Amino acid sequence: MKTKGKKYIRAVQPYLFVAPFLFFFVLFALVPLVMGIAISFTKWDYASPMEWCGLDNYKLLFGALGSGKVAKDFWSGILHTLLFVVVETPLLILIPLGVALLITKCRKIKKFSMGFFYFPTILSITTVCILFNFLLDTNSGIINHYLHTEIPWITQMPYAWISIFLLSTWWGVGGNMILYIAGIANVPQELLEAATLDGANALQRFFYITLPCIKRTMLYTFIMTTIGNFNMLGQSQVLTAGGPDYMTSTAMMVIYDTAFGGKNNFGRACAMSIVFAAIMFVFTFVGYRLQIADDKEASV
Amino acid sequence: MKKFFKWMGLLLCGLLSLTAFFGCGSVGDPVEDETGFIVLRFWNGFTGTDGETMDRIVENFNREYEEKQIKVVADKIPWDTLFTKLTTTSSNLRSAPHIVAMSASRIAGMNLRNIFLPMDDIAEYLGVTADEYLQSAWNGGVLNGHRLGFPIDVHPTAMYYNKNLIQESELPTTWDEFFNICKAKTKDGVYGWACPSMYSITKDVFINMLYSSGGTMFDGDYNPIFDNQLAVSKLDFLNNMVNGTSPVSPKNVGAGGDYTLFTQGKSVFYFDGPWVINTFGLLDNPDSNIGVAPLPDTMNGQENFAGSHQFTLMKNTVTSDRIKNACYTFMRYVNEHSLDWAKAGQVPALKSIHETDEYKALEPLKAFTEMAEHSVLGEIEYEYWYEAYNYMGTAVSNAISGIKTPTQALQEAVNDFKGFVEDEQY
Repeated sequence: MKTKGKKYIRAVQPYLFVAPFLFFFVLFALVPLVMGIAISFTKWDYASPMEWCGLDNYKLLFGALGSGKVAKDFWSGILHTLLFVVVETPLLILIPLGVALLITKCRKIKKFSMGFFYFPTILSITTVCILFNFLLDTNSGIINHYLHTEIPWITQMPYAWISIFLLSTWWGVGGNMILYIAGIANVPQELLEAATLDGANALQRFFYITLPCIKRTMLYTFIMTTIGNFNMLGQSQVLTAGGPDYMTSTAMMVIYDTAFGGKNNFGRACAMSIVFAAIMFVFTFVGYRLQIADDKEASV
Repeated sequence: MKKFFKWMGLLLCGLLSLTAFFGCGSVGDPVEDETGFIVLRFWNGFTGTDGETMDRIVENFNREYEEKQIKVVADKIPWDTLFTKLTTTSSNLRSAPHIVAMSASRIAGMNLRNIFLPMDDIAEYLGVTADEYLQSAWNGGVLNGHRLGFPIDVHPTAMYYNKNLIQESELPTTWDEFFNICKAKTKDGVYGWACPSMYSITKDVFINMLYSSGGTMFDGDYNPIFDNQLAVSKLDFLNNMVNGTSPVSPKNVGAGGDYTLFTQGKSVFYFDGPWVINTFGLLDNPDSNIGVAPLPDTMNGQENFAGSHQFTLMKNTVTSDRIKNACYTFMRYVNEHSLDWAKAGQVPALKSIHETDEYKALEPLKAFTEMAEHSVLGEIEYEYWYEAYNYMGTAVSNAISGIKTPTQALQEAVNDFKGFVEDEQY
């Protein structure tokens, strides 16, 4: 009887350990996902009863219904998001890597440098945007004052995007930098020493030893940074308010405005989220496959 | 020891799951607490000095009405978040508010969600009449013949000026005079006005120009007409101040840039609502170098555009006459104690307050009070008025930024708005 009980506990034990994660995953990921898909086929403003509307929300998104304004707003938001992802993702992968390599080399100031570069990451995006608003103001900002220029950093294109890239890079470097520092610390010293004895220079050691050893970290930062960049909202909302003329309005901003901004079109916002998630998945998956393929080639 | 850790692990996992499960239950104040008090939840977006004042009014009310067993719990939520929360919690009886303060311009749009309790009997219950209130505020709470909002205040936009840069006798009374004075004053790094090109107060200046000239945003059938000849000419005029041959404003003034330049003494004029009198400390410092005057073209009884805060009741939570009457009592109390509200930088809707010596002593509010008496709130009975106002704001911003001509900007805004209304059917 005792053995039977022990066996039973042993069988149940793994499930109990997984249970808390599973519970939160189901509650906060799976249920909202299924609900989101279901709501995307309805017209719903939260307060009134849901009305089944079939594919109307999707038709609106693809311009097959209505005035075409919803499609125009949504796809221009998607394009702006893709622009942000394509420019910002390499910046947030390469700059932190460079910073991490420098910090690893300069051991005397390692702790200070880590704190210095990581500090912006702990600030909220609203705080960062308000700070940059003061720094970049055309007529009374510190940057223009010291540069003796009148660059319209926030109010005109392409400066509004440049400001967003500057802000996002300053804000995001620290997070990836910490991961790279951890990755670089795990590179086997004996490999580096052997390469040095064989006459490899610093550049060769980096490309042939360090980089392959931190590939997994890079893959992780690539996926997380890409997803994070796709979800960009705060910078556009607080720093530029989507302007000038909606030119920095991102997909997340359009979805947020559709759901909460005016008329609370939750059904339409859910349809937008589903289409956006599909686009996001394709991009992340392609990036992932490319990196994995690269990885396999290298190992062969 | 190994066994101990194994069992502890299991216990912790189980506890975590249970905590998460029970943590999801909603907990909130019932309408009546255990001592029999009616506890009213009052949501508002007054997050500045006005919020502190409203908290004090609520505190005083709670003290004075302790015997009548009414208690108000005020919750300050930034306006944008407030409307989101209101939409998502209006059906949750344990957390939804009973009273919500909101701009009159949001009532028609929010009414589409069927969340308001009409207050058609409030005037009779409180023994008040329309004559006692500012007309725009009183009418602003009525929608389709039903009273959905009860007035708190009116907040027009007025003209602040730097007394070191302009004498009171020089102040402009028309927009043409304003432009000429600005031209004369724009020199040596000082501008007449720093006109913000981002979505901002500039749209309120524009809409004021429009309304004070007899224009409107909609025709009688609620067709948008803010791209007509009159509107284009007003935006042209505004655009000339920034992008014309004799600009009186720097270009590309961002959000808050106008305030910074004004406080640095680099611009003569600054436009904003009455709440800024506290930011400038005008009530505490009569010798301040900042003065306030009514907007140009509003001094001879011409109409001017203003906003108005109103109390609204939520039908899901105000479920009995006892609760409703308690809400009415609180609203009336706030009205009667709105001298404090005035000190927070608002023009109380109750006119009798304006006649008191204490109110008259609030000199910086004089310009706002004069304007409030001739204010209009726009065609806010139209459910999409607020959206149209925002599209119009983008057009003003695009014109001032030099991205589009005033005609292009306004026509695009009208077309965008029409597209928005068409898509709302689906």
